[in-house]
Amino acid sequence: MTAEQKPGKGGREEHGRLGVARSDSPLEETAVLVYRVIKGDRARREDFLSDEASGKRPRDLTPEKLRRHKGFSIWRVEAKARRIAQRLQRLGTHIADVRLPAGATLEPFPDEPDHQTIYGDPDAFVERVERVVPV
Amino acid sequence: MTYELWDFDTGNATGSYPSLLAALQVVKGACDRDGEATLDGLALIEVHPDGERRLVAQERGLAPLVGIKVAEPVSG
Repeated sequence: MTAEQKPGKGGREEHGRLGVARSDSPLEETAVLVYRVIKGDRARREDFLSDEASGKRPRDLTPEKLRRHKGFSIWRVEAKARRIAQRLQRLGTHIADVRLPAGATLEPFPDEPDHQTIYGDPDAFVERVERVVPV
Repeated sequence: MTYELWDFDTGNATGSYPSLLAALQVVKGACDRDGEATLDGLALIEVHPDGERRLVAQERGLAPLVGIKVAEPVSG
């Protein structure tokens, strides 16, 4: 059984609740897993940085994009993370399964709610990596 | 079809756009503000209705799409 199919473990069953989470809605410590494409076989703090924290200047100055500039991309479905990493190989070589830390907040992309911007302390995400697998 | 801008260096999506023109306008605006350095790591992605993604252009390859002439590397 894949993570995508597990009820109550980051699968579809919980998607609706988190899919509508606002960026200012703090999450409790949950059993929810999210998936981040990373650039190596070990998760490091640098794998969980926003564009802002990485020193990138914002390309889009609209309020939504400026907000996303302070977060990083994750997927709610492992298969979707894998699919994009296979198509866009510069994104990374591995997928990290991360249990959502308390205080993290999520903002779905309107056209694809399984793709979300997540906001929170990078170190908290590194500590909650449960598994790293090759793309 | 929608379009996305990603930063391959950071692995983050900048945003999703309803048209190619909308995405390119963002790239052009960023180049006008910050110069061609803003293209570092930047990728324009086409998103098909079935979720399939295709790379349209990346980094300095975006320049001609927005009418920017990038500096030639100095040889020798």
